Amino acid sequence: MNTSFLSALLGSALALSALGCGASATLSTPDGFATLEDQEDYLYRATSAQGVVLAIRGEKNSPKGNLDFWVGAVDGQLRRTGYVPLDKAPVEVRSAGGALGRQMRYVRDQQGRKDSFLAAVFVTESYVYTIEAGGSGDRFDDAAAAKVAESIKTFTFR
Amino acid sequence: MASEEGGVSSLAARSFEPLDTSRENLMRTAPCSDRPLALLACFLFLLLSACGAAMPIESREAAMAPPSYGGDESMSAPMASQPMQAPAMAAPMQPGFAAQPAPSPAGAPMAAPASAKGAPTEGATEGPSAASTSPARMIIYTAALQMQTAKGEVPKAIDAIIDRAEALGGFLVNRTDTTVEVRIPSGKFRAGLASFEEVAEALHRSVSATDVSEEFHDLEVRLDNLRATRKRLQEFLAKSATIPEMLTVEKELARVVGEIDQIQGRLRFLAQRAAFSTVRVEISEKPEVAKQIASPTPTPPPPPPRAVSLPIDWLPNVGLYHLLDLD
Repeated sequence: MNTSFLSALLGSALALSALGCGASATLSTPDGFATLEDQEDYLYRATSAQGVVLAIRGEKNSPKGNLDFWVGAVDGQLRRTGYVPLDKAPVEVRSAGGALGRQMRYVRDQQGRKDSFLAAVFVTESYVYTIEAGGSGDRFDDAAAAKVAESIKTFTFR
Repeated sequence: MASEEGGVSSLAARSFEPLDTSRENLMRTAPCSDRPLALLACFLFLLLSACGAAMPIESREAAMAPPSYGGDESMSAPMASQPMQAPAMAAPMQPGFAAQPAPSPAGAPMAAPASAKGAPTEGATEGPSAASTSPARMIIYTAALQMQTAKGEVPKAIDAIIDRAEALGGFLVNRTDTTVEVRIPSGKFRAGLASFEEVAEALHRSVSATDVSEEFHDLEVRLDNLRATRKRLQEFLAKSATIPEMLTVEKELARVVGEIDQIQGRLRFLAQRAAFSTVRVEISEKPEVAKQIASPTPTPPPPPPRAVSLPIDWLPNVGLYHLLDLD
């Protein structure tokens, strides 16, 4: 085997590996939402006409932590930046495949304007997935939250 | 006043009885009664002299050559002859100002009232101030005390002050829930104050002294003059020949008698105030020290947890800021 063939084989294998092992996740777009294409920071993002946005972020599990670690890390970050949790503790949610995740809801007062935010965290050995949803408090109402909750149940990831 | 030997009416009644017989004798002996005109002149002179209180008594006495006081003036002689024996004026409490020379060796004006009543002169060395021990002084002392006692003890403290005042020979003047005013013999003024201050904690005390010696002396001089005038008017009344003359003299006599009563009243008042000092005591309850419910050094609230920034570059991007940035 000549070296050029081996190099091409190795490159193909790495490329396939990179593609195959990358974070990948999706969910059903809620009714009334439109999926946004070409997202850089998110694996998925959709928005309603009223400005309620739903997105999936996938990051490497590094530093490697379990669900508690990442839920705590996300929760701490949000609290430090002015988000006030609505629930006493994170609520367990399940993905479409039955994986365990935790969901937290927050409000934030921005110069008299109240915003609502939701974050759900799922963790695999390699990746951390966060489902984020939010918008103006009067837009991200119970009906919109219910739609998001239904979409989370359809969440699939790798 | 009974000691002032009757009023105008009794004098007038007396003057009507033996006028016919006695008048001639009087006309013969009285230097001013040769003619009615001379009588009138003498009357006017007496009127003028009665108003001259500021004139020295000696010169007036010499000018008027008053007769010796009759026995009917129970209060006059000692007082006139010793006008500045103020202590002896404590006797006004008794009828007639029958004052004796002050027995107090030191002549303490405050002790003298007691001496006039036969009480020991213990205040001779005690008076509020040593400077006031001159026999020529008549001083009215007034004290005010502000005291404080335990809660619920105010009535008891007031009772104690009244008891102590009465033990000193004084008496209660006024009392309220929180104040009491007593009068104590001036000779025991200082001892009284010290005694009162034993009842409760004294917060503030003030003593004032009013020297009424000059006023007292002036009043005495005026009283002397008025008595002399009255005496002369009585003589003129007896010599009056006509009803108009009598009425004129009687009118003037009534005025003089009224003035005498007024001055005697004032003299009694001053003497009484000098004999008994007024002490007003105000007693309040000590404020309760508020019980400290909170601990003296309350534990401060726990500090907020230390913010740790995890070395995760994407974590700050979680949130609405990036989520809602759709551009």
